[in-house]
Amino acid sequence: MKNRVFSLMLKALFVILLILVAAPIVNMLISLSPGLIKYVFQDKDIVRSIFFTLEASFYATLFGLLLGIPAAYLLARNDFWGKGIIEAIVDIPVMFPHSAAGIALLSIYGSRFIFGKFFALFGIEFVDTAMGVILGMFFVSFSYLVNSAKEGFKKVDVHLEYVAQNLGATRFQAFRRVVLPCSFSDILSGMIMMWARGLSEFGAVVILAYHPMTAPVMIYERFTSFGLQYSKPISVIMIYVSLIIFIVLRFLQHKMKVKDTGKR
Amino acid sequence: MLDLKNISLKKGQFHLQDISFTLSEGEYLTMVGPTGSGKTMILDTVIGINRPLSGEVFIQGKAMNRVPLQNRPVGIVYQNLYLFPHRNVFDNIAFPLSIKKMPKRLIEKKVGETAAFLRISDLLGRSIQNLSGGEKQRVALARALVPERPLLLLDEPLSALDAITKWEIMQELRRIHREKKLTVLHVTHDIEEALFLSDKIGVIIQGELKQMGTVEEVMNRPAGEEIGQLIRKDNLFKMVYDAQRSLLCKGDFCLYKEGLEDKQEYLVHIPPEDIILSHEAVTASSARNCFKGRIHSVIYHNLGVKVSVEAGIRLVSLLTRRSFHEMELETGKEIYFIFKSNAVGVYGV
Repeated sequence: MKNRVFSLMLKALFVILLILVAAPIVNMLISLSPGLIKYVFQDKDIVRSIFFTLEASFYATLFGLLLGIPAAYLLARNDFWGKGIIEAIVDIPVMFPHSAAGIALLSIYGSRFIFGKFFALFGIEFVDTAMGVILGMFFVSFSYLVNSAKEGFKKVDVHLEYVAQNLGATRFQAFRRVVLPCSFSDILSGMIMMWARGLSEFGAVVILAYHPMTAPVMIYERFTSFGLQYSKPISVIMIYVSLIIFIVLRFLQHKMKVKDTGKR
Repeated sequence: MLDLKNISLKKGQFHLQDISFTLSEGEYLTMVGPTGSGKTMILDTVIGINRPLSGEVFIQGKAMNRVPLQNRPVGIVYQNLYLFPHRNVFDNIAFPLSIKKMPKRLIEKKVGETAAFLRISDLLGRSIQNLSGGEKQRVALARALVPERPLLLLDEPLSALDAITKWEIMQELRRIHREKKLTVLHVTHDIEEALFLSDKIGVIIQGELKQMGTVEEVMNRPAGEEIGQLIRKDNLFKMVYDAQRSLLCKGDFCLYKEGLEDKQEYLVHIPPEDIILSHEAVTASSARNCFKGRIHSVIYHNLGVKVSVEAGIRLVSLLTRRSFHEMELETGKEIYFIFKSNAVGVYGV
C-alpha cells in the first residue's frame, strides 16, 4: 500500500510539473494563426531580427567549437594543478545573472576599456554591433558545449588513441579520425544546447549590444513600448522556430547515435 | 630484434625495476606473471606510451626512447582490442594503410589478403558491434598484422574468450607466428598459453623479471618457490626427504628419489604429463613410483583431460582425450598411477 501511495505521489508531482511548464508553451503554440503569420512577415524589423538572431547564435556556436573543443579535450585528457579552478571558470558564466554578465563584458570590451581598445586596433568593436551580440551569446553559452564535449571525450578510452598512434597516426590524426567521430554525438548535443542558449539570450546582449536588435530584445522592446499584444506574435514565431530547429537537430543526433551503436 | 636494457619505470606506487631481456628474430616470448605484476607496463614501454625513468628500448638495434609511438616498428593487440567502434571491419583493418595514404586499390588488396589469412573475408562489410568475441579478436589481429611490422606485442589476448574460442585463437597465433615469421612478445597470467605458444618464458613478479629462459628451463628449474607456484599449479608439494629409505614424504605419501639431503624440506613437482594411469599395478618397469588411488575429478582441458587422483595427496595426470576414453575412466574408480623418479623435479626451499 505504501509503495502504491509513493508511486501515485511521484506521478502526481510529475503531472504538476508538466502542467506548470507545458501550459505557457502550449498557450503560445495554439496562438498561431494565419493572421499572426501575416502580421509578423509584413513587419520587416521582426523578420530581420529573427534571421539575425539565428545567424548570430550560429556564429557564436562556431566560435564556441573553435575554442571550446580544444579546451574540452585538454580538460578531459589531463590532470593538472588548478584544473578544478579552470573547470569552475568554464561553469561560472552559466551561474551568475546574465545582466551581470553583460555588465562584466561591457566593462572590458567597451570602447574605453582594455580589450575594447585592443580590438579597436583591428577595427573590431563590440558595443552596439553584431560582434557584441555574438560575444554576449558566446559568453553565456559556451559552458554547455565545453562540458558536453568534455564528457564525450572522457567516454573515448585513451587507449583507442594509443592504438591509432601505434597504427601510424599522429596525435592530431588520432584525434580527428578516432576521438572526434567517437564523441561527435556529445559534441553535437553541446552545440545544440549552446546554440539554443545563445538564441534565447537577453540579459548580456541587451547591455552590450542593444542594436542590431535580436528577437529577444525586440520582444522586450515591443512589450515595454506597445504592450503584450504587440510582443506576442514575434514570441510565438520564435518559439516555433526554436522548436523546429531543436527537433531537427535532436533527430539528427539520434540517427547518429543509432549508427554509432550499430543498431541499424 | 627487441632489447630492453635496464628499464626502470614508476607509475603511482608501482615500480618496474631494472628490466633487461633480449628477444631474437622469430622468437615467441611469453611473459608470465600475476595480475598487477607490471606485464602491460613493459608492453606500453615498448610501444612508447610509457617513458622509462632509466634504461633504453632497442628495436632492430635502434634506440627507441625518443621515437614517437607512430614511428615504432611494432604492432600491438590489447586484451580489450580497442577496435574503432565507428568504423566497420574493413575500415578498421585498413586504418594503418589509409593513414599512410596508400592507393585505394593497394589498400583493398592488402586488407583482402590479411582478411583471407585470418579467415575473416566474409566479415569485411560488418559493423564491429555485431561480431562475436573470436571474430573481434581476428579483426584486431588483422589490423595489427596489415602494416607488416616485424614485432608483434600481445597483451592478454585470450583472457576474455570462452574455452573453445581461446583454443582456436591459440592455434591461430601459433600459425601466424610460424607463417609470418614474426617475433612475438606475449604477456599473460596463464601458464598454459605460454606452454602452448612460446619458445621462451619470462616470469615477472611485482615489477621484477625473476626468471627468463626456454620453456624447458623455466618449467624444470624454476628459480624459487614463488615462480614454481606461479607456473605450476598442479602437483607441486613441499616434501621432506628420508635419506635412509630414499623417500620424499608428505604425510603418509612417500615417493622414491635418490641422492637428496636427509631431513631437508624440498619443493617437489611431478609434471602431470609424466604421470601414467593404469588399471593394473606395474611392477616390471623402470618406473619406481607406483601408487593406488581413487579418481577424484575429471576436467576437460585444452591440452587433453586432467584426471585428479586422491592417494593421501591429490595428484593430477594429463591424458589425451583418446586415452581417457579408451580407459573408460570416471570419478570414484580405483586406479594406479605411475611415474619415473627422474620425472620428479626437486628444488631446495
